[in-house]
Amino acid sequence: MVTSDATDRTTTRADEGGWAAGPAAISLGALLGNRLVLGLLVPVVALGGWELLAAAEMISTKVLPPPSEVLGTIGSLVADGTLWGHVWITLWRVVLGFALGTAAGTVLGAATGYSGTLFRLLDPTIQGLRSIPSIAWVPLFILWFGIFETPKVTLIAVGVFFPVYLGLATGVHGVDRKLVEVARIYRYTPLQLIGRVLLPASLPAYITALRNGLGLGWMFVVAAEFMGASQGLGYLLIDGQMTGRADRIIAAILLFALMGKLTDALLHGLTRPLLRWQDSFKKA
Amino acid sequence: MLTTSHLGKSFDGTSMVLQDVSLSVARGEILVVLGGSGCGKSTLLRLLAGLERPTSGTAALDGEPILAPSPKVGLVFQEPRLMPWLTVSDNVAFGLRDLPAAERRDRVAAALKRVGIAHRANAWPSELSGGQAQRAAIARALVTEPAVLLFDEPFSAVDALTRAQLQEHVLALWEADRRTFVVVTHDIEEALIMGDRILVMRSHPGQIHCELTVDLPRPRHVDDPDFVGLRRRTLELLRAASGAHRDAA
Repeated sequence: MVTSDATDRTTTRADEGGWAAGPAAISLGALLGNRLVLGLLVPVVALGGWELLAAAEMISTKVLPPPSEVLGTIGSLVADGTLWGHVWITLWRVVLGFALGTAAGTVLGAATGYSGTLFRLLDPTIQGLRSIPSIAWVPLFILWFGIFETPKVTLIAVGVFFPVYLGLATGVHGVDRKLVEVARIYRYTPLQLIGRVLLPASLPAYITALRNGLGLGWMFVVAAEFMGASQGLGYLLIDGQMTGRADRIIAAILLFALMGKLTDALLHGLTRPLLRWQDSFKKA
Repeated sequence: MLTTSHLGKSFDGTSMVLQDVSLSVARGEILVVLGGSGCGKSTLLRLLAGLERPTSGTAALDGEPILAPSPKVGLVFQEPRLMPWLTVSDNVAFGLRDLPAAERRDRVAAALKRVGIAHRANAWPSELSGGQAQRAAIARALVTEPAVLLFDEPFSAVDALTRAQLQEHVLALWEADRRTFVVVTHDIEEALIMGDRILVMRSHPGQIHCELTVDLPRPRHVDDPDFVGLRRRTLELLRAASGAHRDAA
């Protein structure tokens, strides 16, 4: 209903303004055809319902504070100036861990993808380490690196490393032998072969791996900040739990979702021009 | 001069894919290697390109044994094999990595012009027609100015009209600077249109069955009585070659 009200109002305003746009241009059908509108439909309806249920006191606001209260909490965090500190330190940890994990995953993925010997030498070990639940490293990292930034960034890097390594090594293995042969005809050195054929050919798989890695980076920053942080979105979560404030927990969750989506969109946007050559079924 | 002497290749150590092939190709000659599937003709070409090492015998260019790919020998594959992430001109430049950028650009532009696809220089390979893609592949092989150009069934994946155009085009390229061409094909007409000489191969193991000189003037026409006669003879030779294999088996 909200949608059709909005449509009517828009139509009226457009008519008053003397626009030539016919009603068909902004019909319900056109709105549903709009990607953004369609994508926002479910969350908007869910949030609206949640707010209404809370206002009607059909759910306990202590257990599940309504969106307006969560927004208020975020507003007060902005007002007292602490929000940026939390967001910034978490973002910094993810970016640093992502960079380190990606670097290690790229070097080892390219090397084992290129060399069968290196693959047989290293891959079993890496796969073995991969099957350790990464959270299990936490006590050891604290023992080794203390409780400040190093263990947190290391844990995130470990989380990012595996998907990047696996995606790239698999991608390089899948490169068409026929293209590699063209490079042989032109006497490419192993490094030239890696740089000019194997990596570009596995770029689609690599970029997917990077996005998976980034997603895991955001997952692991929560675990990292659980192990004794004094600042960060993960700290907000724990703090909300300790002080019994569901609104703070949900606020932190929302901020995680927002940051995760934004960084993924950034990575997607930055890497998209690199894949212009793909003749895909659907231009994603 | 491109030569092989008792050249043989086995991939599994027991059965020979190619056996006792001795041939020589004069500078500026077009040699066609004609045979059915499994006659080892592609393997022969890969040995000449240095992509494979011989199991026995040798292949040599101007007396130098061919053991690895060399800048003197270019190869056009059956498929275009363009790098999908490079534009057409970057694909042509693929083999020119050591040249300064300006010279590379000039030579790529010249090569694209020679094969008639200068207007597609900035296209992605996925946007090319089959014929254009194969022209780009020929440009990539030509741009390094090899003395010998090898073609591995280069027109087998395109339609009949495009194939005829490409054959004509490759012959025009050959007329222009008379490089040595070795063309592998299973198509009798293609062999007779292009070759100065034809080696008819037989299979299991791949061996030279016989040699045929094509002394028809160019351009050759498929409905010319001499051409028709030669085609009939070649077909008989090819039948005899496959019969020889069947009798041996």
